Amino acid sequence: MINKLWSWLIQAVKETLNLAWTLVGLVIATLTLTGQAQQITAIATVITLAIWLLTIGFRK
Amino acid sequence: MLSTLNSLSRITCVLFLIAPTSIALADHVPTQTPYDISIACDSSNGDITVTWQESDGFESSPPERYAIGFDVNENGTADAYAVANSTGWETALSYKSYVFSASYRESIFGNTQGTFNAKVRADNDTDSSYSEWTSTVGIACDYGSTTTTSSTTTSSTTTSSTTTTTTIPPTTTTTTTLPPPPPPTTTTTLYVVVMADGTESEYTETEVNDGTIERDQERIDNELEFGCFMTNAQIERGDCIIIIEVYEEEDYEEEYNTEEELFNDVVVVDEVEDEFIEEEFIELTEQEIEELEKQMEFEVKELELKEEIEFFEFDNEEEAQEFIETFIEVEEFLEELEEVKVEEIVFKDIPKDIIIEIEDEITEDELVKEVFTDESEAETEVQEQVVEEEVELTKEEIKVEVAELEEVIEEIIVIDIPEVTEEELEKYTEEELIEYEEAKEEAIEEFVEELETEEVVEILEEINDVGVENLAEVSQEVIEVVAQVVEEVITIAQEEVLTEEQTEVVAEVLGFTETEDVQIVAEAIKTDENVAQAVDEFVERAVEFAKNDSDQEFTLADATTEIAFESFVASPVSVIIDIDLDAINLNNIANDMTTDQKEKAQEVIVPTILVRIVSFALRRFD
Repeated sequence: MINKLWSWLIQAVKETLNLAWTLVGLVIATLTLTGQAQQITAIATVITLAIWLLTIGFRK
Repeated sequence: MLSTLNSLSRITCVLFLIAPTSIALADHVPTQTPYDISIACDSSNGDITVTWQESDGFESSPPERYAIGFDVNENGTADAYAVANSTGWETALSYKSYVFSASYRESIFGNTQGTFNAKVRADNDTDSSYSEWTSTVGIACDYGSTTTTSSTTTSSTTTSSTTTTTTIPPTTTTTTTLPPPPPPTTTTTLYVVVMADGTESEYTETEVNDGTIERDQERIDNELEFGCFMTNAQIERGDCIIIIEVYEEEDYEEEYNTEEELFNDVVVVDEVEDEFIEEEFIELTEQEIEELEKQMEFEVKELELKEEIEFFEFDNEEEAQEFIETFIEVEEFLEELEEVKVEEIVFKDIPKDIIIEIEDEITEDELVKEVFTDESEAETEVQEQVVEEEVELTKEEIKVEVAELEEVIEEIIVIDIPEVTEEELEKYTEEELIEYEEAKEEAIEEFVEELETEEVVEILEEINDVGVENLAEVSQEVIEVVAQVVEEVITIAQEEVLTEEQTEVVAEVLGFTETEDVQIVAEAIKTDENVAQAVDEFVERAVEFAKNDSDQEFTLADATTEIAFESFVASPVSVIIDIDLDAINLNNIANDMTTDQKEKAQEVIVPTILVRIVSFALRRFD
C-alpha cells in the first residue's frame, strides 16, 4: 500500500512538472483577473490539476 | 404516581395551547360572520327581535352595517327581503338586535301569520367585503291585524312625520282563553324619503343622521350610471370596473353581446355608456388627422393672405391655391433653418507645441477619394485620427500644469495640522515622523471626504492636465491628496450617479478607455480586496512606475495585477481559501471586470492555452 502511494506521488510530481509552464500561465492568468473570473479560474485550475493527478493510472 | 402526574400536566399544557388555535385560524377572515343568532317574539306587541353577537374584532374589514334577510314561509328560508341596520361593529362579542314590528311585517306580508325566518350578514361596503350569512332562525308570531295610521309628507327632500300606531289584539275562538292585555299606544319617529327615482324608503333617525340616505341615493345613481350598486367612495376607489372602449359598430356587435356575457357584481359593461361615447368620439387614423391639420393650416393661411392675394392677379382658383401652398412650404423651410443651432466651440489652454505623429501618410488624392466614396465614414476616420494623436507636453508645460494643480489643491484643500518646516522634520525621531505622517494622512482623508463632487472632479481635471505619469514632479503632500481624491471619487461613484462628463474625467485618470469601467470599479471594490487596495494605492504606484522611465501607460488594471501578485506571494493558499462560492454567478462571470482588466487577462490566457496546445502537438510528434 505504502509502495503504491509512493509510486503515485512520484508520478504526480512528474506530471505536475510536465504541466509547469501551463500552471505558470494559469497562475498568472488568475492573478491578472479580478472578481468572479479570478475565483473561477483558481478553482478550475486546482480541481483540474487534482483530477489530472488522481487519474494518472486510469489515463495510462 | 409522580410520572403519571407529570404526564397529565404535560397533556394539559398541550391541550391548553392547542385549544385556541382553531379559533385563531377561524378569525382570520376579512369580515367575520355574526355569531350566535337568535330570534324572539314579544307576544305583548307582536315585535320579533332578531339578535346576534358581534365578532371578536379580529378581522381586517369590520362590519359597517348588518344585513338582515327575512321572509315568511315554512321552508326555513329568508331570501325574499332584506333590511340593514344603521350601526356597524362597535364592541367585541356584544349583542345587537333588530326589531320587526307587527305593523311592519303586516305592511310587507299582508298579515303577521306564518313562520318568520331571518338570517344576518356582516357587510363592509368600503372594502366590498361581506361575510357569510348566518344560519336561518324562525319563529311564529301572529298578532292579528294591525291598523296603522300615518301622516307622511312626500317630497324630494328628507321629511319627518309622526306615526301613531294602534294595535288591535288578535281575536280568539275559545272562551276560556283570556285576551292579551290591552295594546299600548307607541309613538315612533319615521322618516319617509322619496328618492330621485321616485321610490319611497323609510329611515330611522339614526340612519338619517349617519348619512345612510345619501349613501343609498349614491348607490341608486351609480347603478343607473355605471351598473354598479355602490357608493361614490367605492366607485372612486375602483371597485366597479367600468369598461369604456370605442369600437366600430360592427366589431362591437360581434365582440360583445352583453345579453350573453355573464358578469359578477363589480365587472359591468354598460351599453348606455358605450353608446354615448361612440356618438361623441370618432376614431381617426393618423393620416386623416394629418390631412385635417394641413387643411386647417391651409385655411388659416388663406385667411391671413387674403388681403395680400388681392394685389396679385391669378387666372383661376388653382393658381391662387398653388401660391398659398408654396408660401406655406417656404415658411416651413425657414422655420427648420431657425431650429439649426450653431454651437460655439471655445478652445481652452491650447498647448504651444503640438506634436502630431502621422504613421501613414495619406495623399490628398486618397483623402479626396475617401471623402467622395463615403463622406460620413471618411469624416469619422479623420476625427478618430485627431483624437488618437498624442499630445506630449514639454517640460515647461508640465511645470505650468503642476503649478496649476498645486494651486487648485491649495485653494480647495485646507489641512488642519500644524505646519512643520523641513528643518523641523529632520529633527524628528522615527516615532514622531510616523505620528506626524499618520496625523497628516488622517487630516487629508477627513477633508477630502467632505469635498463636494464638483470640487473632486475639478482636482481630477487638473490631474488629467498634468497626466498621472507626470505626478512625480509634484510634492509628496500633493500626491497624497491626489491619491485620496481618486479614492474618494470612486466612493462617490458608489453613492451617486456621476454625470457623463465627470465619469469621463475619472476614467481618464484611471486609464480606462470605457467610461462604464468607472461604475464597474465602484462596485468591484465592495467585494474584491485587491481592487479596493489598487484604487487606494493607484496614484503612488503610478508615480513609482513613472520614475522608471517606462514608455507604457500605467492603469488601474496594472495596479490590481501587481497587488494580486504581491498577495499571492505573501500567501499562495489564500487565492484558493478566500473564494466565496456563494457569490459566484456563472451568468455574469466577467461583468465585474473592467475592459482594461479583460484585455490584460486576454494577453496572458491566450498564450497559455496556445502553449498548451503546442506542447500536446509536440508530444504527438515524439
